[in-house]
Amino acid sequence: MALNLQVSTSNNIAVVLCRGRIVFGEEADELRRVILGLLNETKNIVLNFAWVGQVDSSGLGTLVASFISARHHGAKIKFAAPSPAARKVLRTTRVDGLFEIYDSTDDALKSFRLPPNIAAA
Amino acid sequence: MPSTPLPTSSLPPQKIVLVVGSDPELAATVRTVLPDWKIERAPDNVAALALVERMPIQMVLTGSDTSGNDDVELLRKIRRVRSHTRLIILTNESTPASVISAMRDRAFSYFSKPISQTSLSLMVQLAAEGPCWDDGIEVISATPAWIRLAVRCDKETAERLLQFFNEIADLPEPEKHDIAMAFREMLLNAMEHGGQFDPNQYVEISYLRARHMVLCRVKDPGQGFSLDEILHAACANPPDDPLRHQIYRDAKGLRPGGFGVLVAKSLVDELIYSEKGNEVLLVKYFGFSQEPARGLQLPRSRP
Repeated sequence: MALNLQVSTSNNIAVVLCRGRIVFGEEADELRRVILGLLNETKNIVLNFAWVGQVDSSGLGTLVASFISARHHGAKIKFAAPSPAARKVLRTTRVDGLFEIYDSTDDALKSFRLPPNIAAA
Repeated sequence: MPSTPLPTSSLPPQKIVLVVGSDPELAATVRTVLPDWKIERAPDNVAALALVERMPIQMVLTGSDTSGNDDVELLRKIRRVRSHTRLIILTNESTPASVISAMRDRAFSYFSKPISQTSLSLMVQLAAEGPCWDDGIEVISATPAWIRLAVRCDKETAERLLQFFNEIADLPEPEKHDIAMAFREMLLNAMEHGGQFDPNQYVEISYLRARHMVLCRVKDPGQGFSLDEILHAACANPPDDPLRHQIYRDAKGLRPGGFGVLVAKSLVDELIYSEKGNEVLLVKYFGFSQEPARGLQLPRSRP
């Protein structure tokens, strides 16, 4: 499988460091499985996409499906430091409009501690 | 109670992978991906062929310091004695013509330098696990400028084809990356929706490389569709409802996805479907400079 996921937790916020590609098959399935598992434990998730080289249709679908699942759980998923390739595909498909995107994991973590109107600004 | 060891004769024979050349990193990669396989080494292609003739070797990785043509020559000789050995060509010198020759002689895959260790590891794993691969990619006709293939509808064959595509497409960046990504989306769509990932079904592929344009045609064996009817695809979402297709997919029990057409459209200059909807053309233009024309390319011989 060409995707490595490292999960860490800080102040009840789960950070998933993704390395590799998020594409049709095992990779997208694994990310979906990990996010669904985390949604049972926390309402705050950060996906660090700094090392994601490719996101295909299935990967995008996984992100959108995860967004819907998070909404059902009253949870929030935010992006940190997406690679240029990931940022481009999120933008061209308008999936970026569903998520808050931050330049670093620290910024994403801080945003969870701010009032929503300030965090999203 | 101690377990009784199985008689040696009942154990399946250990599979063998032959690594050609002296690259320690390559051998380490193979050892990591195939921990249960026996690794044989050969210093060069002559020694490699001698080993293949002597013992049943399931997989060969050529050395990355040889040319693509040298490795295709080795592949042809291996085919005479081992028709099903999976051979992955690694090379420091490649041309589209040598990649086509490799496909014709049923190389499993082809990588030229710089080689991504992640991609190579994935391909070695596919080569080790795939139950049947020989007839996955059939070259119907091919010159470096115009290639026609029949490709079996399974994901592993798609991964192999995409690696060959990456090697054949002598295009500038970022056009190469864009057309490769768009082609991948349309190929997987064709295999999934048109061919139901049925390995008995084939998709037809054409690749046309002109001076300022590359064109890919993908035809699937399905009944086709209309872009207006596909509620499971993001391209049919109203602008103010980016979630509609995914909610539809969830309700129908479909896997997450549906962005293929949208992604492909954003990466190429033209995306054109046939009336029936089971054929699609991807067109990408590039490099409108004042370079001289290459001239008319004719086939070497006519039937």
